[in-house]
Amino acid sequence: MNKAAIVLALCATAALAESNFSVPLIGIARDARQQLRFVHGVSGNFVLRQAIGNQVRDWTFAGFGGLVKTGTELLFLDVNAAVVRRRSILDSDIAMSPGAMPLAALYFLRAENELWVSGAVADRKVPIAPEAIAGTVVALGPSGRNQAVLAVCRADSLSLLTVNLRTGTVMAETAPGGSIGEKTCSAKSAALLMIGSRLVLATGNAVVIQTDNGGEHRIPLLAAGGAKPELHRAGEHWIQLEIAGAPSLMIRVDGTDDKCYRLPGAGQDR
Amino acid sequence: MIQRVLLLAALTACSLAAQFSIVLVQNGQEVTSDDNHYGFGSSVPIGTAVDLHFRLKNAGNDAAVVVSLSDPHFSLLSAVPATIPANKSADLMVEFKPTQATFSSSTVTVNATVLATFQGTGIVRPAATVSLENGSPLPSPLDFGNVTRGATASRRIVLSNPATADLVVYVATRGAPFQLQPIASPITLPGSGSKTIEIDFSPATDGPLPNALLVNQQVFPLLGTGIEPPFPQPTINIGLAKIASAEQGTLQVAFAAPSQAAGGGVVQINFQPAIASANPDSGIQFISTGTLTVPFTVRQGDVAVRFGSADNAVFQTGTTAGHLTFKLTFDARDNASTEKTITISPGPVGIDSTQAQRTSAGLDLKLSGFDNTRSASKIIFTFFDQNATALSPGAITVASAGAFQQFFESSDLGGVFGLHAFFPVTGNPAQVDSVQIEMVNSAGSMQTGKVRFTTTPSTFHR
Repeated sequence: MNKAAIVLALCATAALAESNFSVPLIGIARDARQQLRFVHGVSGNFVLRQAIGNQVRDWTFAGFGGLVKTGTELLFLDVNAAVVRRRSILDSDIAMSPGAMPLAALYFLRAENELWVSGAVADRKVPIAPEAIAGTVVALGPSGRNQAVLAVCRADSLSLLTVNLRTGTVMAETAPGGSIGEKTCSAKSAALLMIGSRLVLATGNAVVIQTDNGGEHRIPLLAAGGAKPELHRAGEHWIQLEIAGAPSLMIRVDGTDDKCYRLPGAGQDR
Repeated sequence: MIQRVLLLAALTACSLAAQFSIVLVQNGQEVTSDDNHYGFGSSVPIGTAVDLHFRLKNAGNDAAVVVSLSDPHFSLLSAVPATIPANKSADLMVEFKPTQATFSSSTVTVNATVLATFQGTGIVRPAATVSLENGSPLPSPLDFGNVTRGATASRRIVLSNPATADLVVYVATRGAPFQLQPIASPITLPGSGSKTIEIDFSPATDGPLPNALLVNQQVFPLLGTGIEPPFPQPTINIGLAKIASAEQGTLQVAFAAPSQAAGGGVVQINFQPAIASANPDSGIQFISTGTLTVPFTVRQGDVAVRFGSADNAVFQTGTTAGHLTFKLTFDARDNASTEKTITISPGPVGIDSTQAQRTSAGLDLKLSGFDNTRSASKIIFTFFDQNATALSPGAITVASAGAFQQFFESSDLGGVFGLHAFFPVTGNPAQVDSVQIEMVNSAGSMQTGKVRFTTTPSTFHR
């Protein structure tokens, strides 16, 4: 009987209007002229569109929103990457995550040792004690409702701390294995990012993607002169990898086949 | 005492005035005559000319210059500058061309001061005659035309002795890039005899290169123009995992041999869509520029063109079926352009990503993909329960040709589309586990695997 009810509803509504079509937004990425821009298209067919901003220090964006850090502000983006709110912050180091619906975006201010959850009107500071972290937060990501995972470097060791976002208590602590566990905190120039259940590490010579079962996939790179790579969450399944002096890469991280593409140059605003 | 001071002032003033002198320049060296007399030859055949190179030097202050010669058989071939700055000089070319068998002498006056005397003697004795191999007189100048750097153009000329006695002929050019073959000089021509010699022009630089053939002080102007050598035949090589839409590939341009030329050019993509009056496809572009063109450079010795610091240029094939033609054009003219065309065949719809979410109100489905034929006409949804059993009534077909058409007509992104479909559910949406989507276009149909509905996006769990 239930099945019948569902089926009837599907039949009645299964019609498509032209307004259901749009140009797909892959995400946002920084072009060769240092402008943060919309990236439309599909894998292997990227088109850079209008600029969101200049002088952008860092950003993170998934299919439902994101954050952009400039020298003086933190900008909150909606699902269409439109700026919906701003917060003045010091020009300090920050780790950011776009969150995952219904969990809002997260950010950690390293200088202040503060973890924040963004809200529709204002942000909420998570009451986590600095001694519970006892290290440098290098990345973070949501982990189910009201939980986040902080990737923390303690000397040369990487720890993953599961934090209750209401109480600030550390609920669990693990140490990832593989080359990510080994190199994230010890490599001279490394960048770590959390996307879904994956950990992504970029060093001067490779991008390593570790899945939730600990398996690792390596994409070789060649960064000139030990340049520090930068990883940015560019979209729901996308990471932008920037290395000074080298072309920007877009890495699709999903399914079983992580693929690497080149991001087009600045071109013309379209 | 006052007189001494005035005398000193006068001497100082004199020392500040222009102080001109004239010297002969031979083989790049300055030669000074003790008595300021310079000879142009004692046996210059009437009607021929002897050119000598002089240097007018100013050891004093900046000064205006007026130069005059007293005898019309001597003339200035080069322009005299209006002024010669202090401690600078000006080079002068002076020609002696006798019209009668007599001694000629000319003073050289600079700003009313005689600086030197030029002398020469004309004779009636016939000189060596110079002609082309076909007997016609040497044109003035003898033009070797455009010759590429590193190459050689040759002209053969005939030296003849019209007299009955032997004639010693000194023959030379003014140096590189013109050279004589054989190079030995002087040549003795017997009475009524002749000899053929070759003049080779081998430019090492670009542009007009005037020179002269000197035969017993007769001067025959030579001219050749050095030009950039052509680039070797380029070949465009395309690297693509598969020749299809939504691919990134590489373009390399190899030469048949190391290039002797240096320069640059552009490679341009021209796209001919398979669909009549299709909107532009802005996905087709070179990655490094984000446009349809990419510049390249070539250095001497290169076996492939350079795109910046790379030996290849990455491009995107876009999402429209048709012909992609890569046209290489060199900046330097006289180099043929070359082309390579790849054909992107019409294909079924390609799905790039899907997102299926279950909400309390129903089922939310987002997918992005491309249709390189822009002819998608049907979408077929089949919903499944947790047992992978298709929910009744099975496949639900939606005619979508009109909606797709309207969308593609308003898009400049080729065949790319994003589709958002929401299915309200009156029962329990949790009973719907997954959906399979089939899309049909003019090239065939494509079916996704089962896309599972989730309640939230993936988060970090270990």
